Amino acid sequence: MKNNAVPKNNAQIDPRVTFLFVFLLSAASVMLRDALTLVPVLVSAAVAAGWARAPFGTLLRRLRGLWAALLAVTLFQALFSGDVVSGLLTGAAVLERLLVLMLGGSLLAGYPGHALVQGMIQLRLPYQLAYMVSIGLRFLPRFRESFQDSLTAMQLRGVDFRRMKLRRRFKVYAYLLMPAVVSGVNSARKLSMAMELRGFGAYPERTAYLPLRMKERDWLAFAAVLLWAAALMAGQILWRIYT
Amino acid sequence: MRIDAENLSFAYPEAGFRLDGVSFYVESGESVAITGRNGSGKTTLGKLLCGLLKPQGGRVLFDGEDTSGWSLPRRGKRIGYLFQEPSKQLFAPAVMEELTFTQELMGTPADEAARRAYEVLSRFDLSKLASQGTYTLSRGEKQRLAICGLLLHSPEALVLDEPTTGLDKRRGELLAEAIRECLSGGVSVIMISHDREFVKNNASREIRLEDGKVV
Ligand SMILES: Nc1ncnc2c1ncn2[C@@H]1O[C@H](COP(=O)(O)OP(=O)(O)O)[C@@H](O)[C@H]1O
Ligand SMILES: [Mg+2]
Repeated sequence: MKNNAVPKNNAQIDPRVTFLFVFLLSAASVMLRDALTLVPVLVSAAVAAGWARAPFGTLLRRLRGLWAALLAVTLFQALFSGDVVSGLLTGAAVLERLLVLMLGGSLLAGYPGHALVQGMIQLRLPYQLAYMVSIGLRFLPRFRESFQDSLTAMQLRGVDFRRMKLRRRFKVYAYLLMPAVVSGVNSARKLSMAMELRGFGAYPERTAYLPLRMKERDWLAFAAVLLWAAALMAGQILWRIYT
Repeated sequence: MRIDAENLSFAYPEAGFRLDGVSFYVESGESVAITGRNGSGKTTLGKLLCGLLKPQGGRVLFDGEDTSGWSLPRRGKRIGYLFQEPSKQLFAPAVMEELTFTQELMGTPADEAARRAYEVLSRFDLSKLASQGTYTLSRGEKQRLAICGLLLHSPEALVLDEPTTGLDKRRGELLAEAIRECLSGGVSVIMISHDREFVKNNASREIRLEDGKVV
């Protein structure tokens, strides 16, 4: 059988290589602190996402509320902390990190769920865990829907969010997130119960319909990721020595 | 409150469905049933009345006032809407909170909010559930709790989408009683229902929908 678990839009790189790359990206974005040193990380994430034609735009639009709020908070903090320049630099670092994480997320979002799960399984992660991740992804839209329903129901009782102070509004949102989480978890639990009743998890190994196989280009990509990581680290060390 | 629906139209092109030129009125203190087969557009019509959907043509009047530009909360203050799926309407983890939270958000003091909540719960035979969580309620209990939530804010009109689903005979009778009480207070009631007997006993008129048209 052909290796058709991997879609065309990610330039057909094995998801395991992408996992590694995204993991390294995330690690770098967490470890590096200042705006300047984060630039090469951001650039490489952007280049990879562009090359793989990752659905970054879609992700950006879906998370519009989130990053807009973060942008506002960051700017606010920057402008009202004592030193505006260092405040702005801190703000820039936060945004760069966020962008790196979102670019990494979009790289993964380009794969169909089963390819990601298969990748995790072949990396020897327990497949129950892998399935939980993919089920979690599936329930995200439902989660949002339930949140939206709650907002609607409250508005229909006459609650006007537009006239509410921002702090109060956030409190209500936080309050509403709980039932949304519970209903999401409940649905996931029901599904997993149904799966277990059909014998899911009864055997330690599973036969895969679409096993992943590393091909030449995957090995090349793997080597590129390793080289990139080495170069990034060397760059950081040199930078520290010379400044 | 008097409600006028004037020439309402709305389409779901992807489902090949359209509601077409629907007009009717409901007087203050009158109860009207909207009936029709599955998929005839009853729920869609209910959502148009309370503003969850915007009509693509026509308008809805509350006491003669065009509600086209009104926000959802503004309509919600005057009209109560029971979702066909009541669990979508419950937002709080606990029964009492479901009833006190929105009251407190709108400025009612906590003890007054709790007093009102107990009162409406007892009307629907739910007092003993006051300290329970909402997720484990049966469908009928969710239904009644959702109705309690509507009545708390003293609406001038009610739109109830399939209010008797999941209710046994005795609880159906409690609902009918609450409806009669609302009617005598001048609240108009629009009930969307399959339940022929309930409609016959509790509605003074029937509006029948077929393929998105009033027949
Ligand atoms: N959100 C939606 N998107 C697309 N089609 C819908 C949606 N809601 C309802 N419909 C379609 O509109 C028609 C009328 O639905 P509805 O008003 O729920 O009917 P009823 O409540 O009378 O059973 C149905 O054919 C249904 O498939
Ligand atoms: Mg319906």
